Amino acid sequence: MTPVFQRPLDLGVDIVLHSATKFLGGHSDVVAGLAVVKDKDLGARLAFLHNSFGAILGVQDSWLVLRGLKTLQVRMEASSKAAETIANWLNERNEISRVYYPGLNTHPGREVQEQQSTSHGAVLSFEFSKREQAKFFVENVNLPVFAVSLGAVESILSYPATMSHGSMPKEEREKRGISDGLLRLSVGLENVDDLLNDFKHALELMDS
Amino acid sequence: MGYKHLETNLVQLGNRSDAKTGAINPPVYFSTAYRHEGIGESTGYDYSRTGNPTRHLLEDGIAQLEGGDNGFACSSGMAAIQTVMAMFKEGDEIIVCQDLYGGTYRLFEQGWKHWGVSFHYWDGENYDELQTLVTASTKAIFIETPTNPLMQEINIKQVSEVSKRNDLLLIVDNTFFTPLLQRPLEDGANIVIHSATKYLGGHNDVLAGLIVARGEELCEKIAFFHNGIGASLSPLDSWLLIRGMKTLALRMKKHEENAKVLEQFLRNHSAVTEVLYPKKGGMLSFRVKNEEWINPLLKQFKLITFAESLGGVESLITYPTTQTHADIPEVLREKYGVCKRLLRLSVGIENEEDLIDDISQAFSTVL
Repeated sequence: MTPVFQRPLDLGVDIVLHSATKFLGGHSDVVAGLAVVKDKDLGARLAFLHNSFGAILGVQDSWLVLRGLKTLQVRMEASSKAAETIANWLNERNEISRVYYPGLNTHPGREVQEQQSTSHGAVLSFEFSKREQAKFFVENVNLPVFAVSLGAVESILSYPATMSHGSMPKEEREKRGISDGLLRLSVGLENVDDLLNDFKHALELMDS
Repeated sequence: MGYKHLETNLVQLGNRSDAKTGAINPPVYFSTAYRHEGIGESTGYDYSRTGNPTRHLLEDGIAQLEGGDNGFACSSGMAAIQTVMAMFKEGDEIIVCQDLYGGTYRLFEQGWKHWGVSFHYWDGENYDELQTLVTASTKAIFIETPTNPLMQEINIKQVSEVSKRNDLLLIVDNTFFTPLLQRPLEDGANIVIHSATKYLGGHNDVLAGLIVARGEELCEKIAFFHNGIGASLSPLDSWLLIRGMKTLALRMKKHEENAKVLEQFLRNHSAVTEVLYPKKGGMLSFRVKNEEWINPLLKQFKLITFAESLGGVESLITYPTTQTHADIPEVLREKYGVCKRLLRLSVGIENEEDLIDDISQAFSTVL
């Protein structure tokens, strides 16, 4: 969500964490993490560990994140707007059994999301009933890059079962709803029609 | 890859790594993620935290230089130590040399001690006593050699006899000597750690840490935590470090020449009571006669910079009492020799006469 859409410290949270590799950096060119607190004592404790562990961010990388942050607002607005369109479009397709996106009326978390955030975000997941269908889709879309990670100017399609959640045992994964037919899409800054045409093409191929 | 002489391997780091263009200086791969052809397919690169082509050149390079199986590049020397420490758990005991960098001491005493690991300190001299510190819970021996800042030389082979006999991991911080002067893995160590910010980088412009280990199982464990913790070195910093390492052999030679000249000069100076120099490398420490002279001296140096680091081309002088070793309790520090009259000098590669002139003029103001 990033602070553009959601500010957890204002909602009573003690520590906010970011993989700044994602939206904050936003350009698939820097690996970074951020922690933010507003309590002085807690801050001092984190500062001690930050220095002692030495897992600090390099200066060039700090600069790269700063450079990314300058366009965060416009990137987040554009990507989440496109994500909303794509989620609704996918939700209408018969090939897809389920779409997970907080902006859908059917999404169980929508109410909570709207209370604490000003957007539904730029990431969505959708599910095919069979692994083979997910595989076919991945192999036949051209625009989104099939890779791990998210939150970039480029749209990124991921397969959680073997990528982000590959280190989780299959049983545990499926218990959480991360099935073999599930794909995650991080929507970038491409024209939304180009993305939809690409998806449409892949789904129509699947139907034939 | 691998030539007989280390300096050749250092200079050639990254060359011939890019067949497509023939680039002599290796490209920096900024990409955080790598495209997969399909499900279950990979080029070998997926996500930059786990593996990065630029970082791999550095990691393979240091592994070869140290004679290890795998190298791991981290965001700082302390991040390298933290990554190695992640292998230990509550109840484990580690034997540590008494004289060591204050930051390492702080991580052990104020960090890992709270998480249930205990540390037993060894004087670094009595090898019979080392065996008596081993208990059923001892898992590792962690040493620096030469130690920081007292320049105590610990015999790695002799320590490794104890570590092997008791099935312990021997971890050696090789920051001061680098693989050019000392290769701990060949002397029986299991893991070598570097603050590569120091001699390996050598230009005071990049923070980095390196780990090298021998043995497949051990390397896999470290790889797991290296990726799991994520304190990995960025591509640009990896490239800067490679850039620095190319001149390590030349720099180290000059550091050592200068250090030997300064050692003699300081030994013969009436303001100095002791000089601690291990006869190799570019680091030395010395005690001045009077504690009251320390601050005026530090203010008086014109060429040598009063700062908290070492191993760079510029000469730096450090006051362990208030800088690098401030986190070690004073009573303990005084007991083993890090007294208030001690200064640590990282001898740079300036002309030795200019260095001597600077020290002379500074001493002349307090004598």
